[in-house]
Amino acid sequence: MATLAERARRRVRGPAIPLASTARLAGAARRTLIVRVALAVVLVGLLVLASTTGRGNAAATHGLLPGGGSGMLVLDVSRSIKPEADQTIVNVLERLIRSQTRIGLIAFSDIAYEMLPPGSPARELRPLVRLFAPPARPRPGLDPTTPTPWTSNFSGGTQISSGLVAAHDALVRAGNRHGPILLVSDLDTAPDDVPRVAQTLNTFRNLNVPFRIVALTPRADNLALFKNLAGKGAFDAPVTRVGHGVGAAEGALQGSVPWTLILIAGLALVALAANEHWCGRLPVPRTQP
Amino acid sequence: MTWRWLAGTVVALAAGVVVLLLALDVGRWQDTFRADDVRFLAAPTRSDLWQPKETVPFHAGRNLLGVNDDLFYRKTLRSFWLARPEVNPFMQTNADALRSQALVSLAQFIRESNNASRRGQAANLLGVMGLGLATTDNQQQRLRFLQYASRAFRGALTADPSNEDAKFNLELTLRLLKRLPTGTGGGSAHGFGRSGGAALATPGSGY
Repeated sequence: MATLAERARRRVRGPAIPLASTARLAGAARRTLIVRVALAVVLVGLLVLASTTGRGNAAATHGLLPGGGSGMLVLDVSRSIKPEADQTIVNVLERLIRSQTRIGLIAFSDIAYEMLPPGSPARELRPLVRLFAPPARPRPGLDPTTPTPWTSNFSGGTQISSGLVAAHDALVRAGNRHGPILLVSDLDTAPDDVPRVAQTLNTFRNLNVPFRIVALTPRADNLALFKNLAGKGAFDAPVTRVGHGVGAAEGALQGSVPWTLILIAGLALVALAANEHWCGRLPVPRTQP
Repeated sequence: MTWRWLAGTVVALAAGVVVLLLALDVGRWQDTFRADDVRFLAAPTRSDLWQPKETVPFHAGRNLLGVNDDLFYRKTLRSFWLARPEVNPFMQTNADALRSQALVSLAQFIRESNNASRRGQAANLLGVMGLGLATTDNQQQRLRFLQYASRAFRGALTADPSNEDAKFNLELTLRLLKRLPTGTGGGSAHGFGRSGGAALATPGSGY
């Protein structure tokens, strides 16, 4: 009478051919076991890696703030922002609202102003959307853009460093010294402000403050400069397309192909195929009775 | 048996070729460092310095030699030279961008280098950049960059207390800070709305 364990083993392994000389196959069996365990470890590793990468990609897609958590949005409202960039601003605002995160808002041109303190619900950004949403029907006249509260007296030059410093100071005041910062700008800062931006970004790096940049139709030279200063990683997902030559660049919010995830999936398929090739059961043809 | 020998021979030959190419790359790196250091003195603006042609991919020769830090050091020094902090910014095209890039390169070197003496040198140069940027009529910007410079010089001395250049530069910066009409006090080297000693700060940090 077969024991319970024996029956369970049979159920798992299925019917097998009884062999008299199993000892001769011990080496091969051990080798197969090692290969099987190694492949299992590789597969589990790939699964974990895929899960982590997938979650990272999802976070990058849903939340624009680097590292997640409560941070600051630094929005450029200077005159240099072209009307074509409005849709990107709306996309950014919509995505932040949808992420239901907590966020503060700094609007800046040549000076910075704290519009929302850090920790405000992202839905508080909703009233801003209509100011950037392109009008359904262009208004007749010289200026077809929608007037904003800052159009007349808050849209002078551009001092990006003032916005970044104000955002970090607000985070420090709120007790969130390492809070993430998202800069939304055309990167057309005043020439004498560039060293201050570099200095500020150095500070962020030294303090481990994560920051990301969404470039709004930047000029190619400005984009190249900021990629040097902030690093290409700061532009991860948002900036996808840049034209050639000065003034012919374009930034947009678009998804990117998840090559890492595709590579991991391919490796997992290879590992599964190897498992089938080396560790699959031998197909034994049924004999006719 | 024959197949195994054949396969073994092919693998050994391939490995031999790779090792030979690697040796050539290593030799090229050594020659390039020697030659390009001299070239840098003669023509620092050349953009092809310290870039030998490597045969083996993924910079295997460079990694084998372990010269990444030496290369980083040279490139950082070059970025400082290109920024030319002693020159009037109006006399140089693109001065602000070059100086900003030098600021970022030097700060990155200070963060990543394991060599205290070189870190001290880089921090000293970062302070010099700050001093150069402080030559402006804008009082606020002057104060900001002088404070930045003093922090960098203190960082240089923290990294390498024997750095005489940093001592001299720090003294000069503190004198300049003293002359400024500021509420924070001459040479206090505190950032806006901050507290804490600058000597304790990471070189290159603070606004």
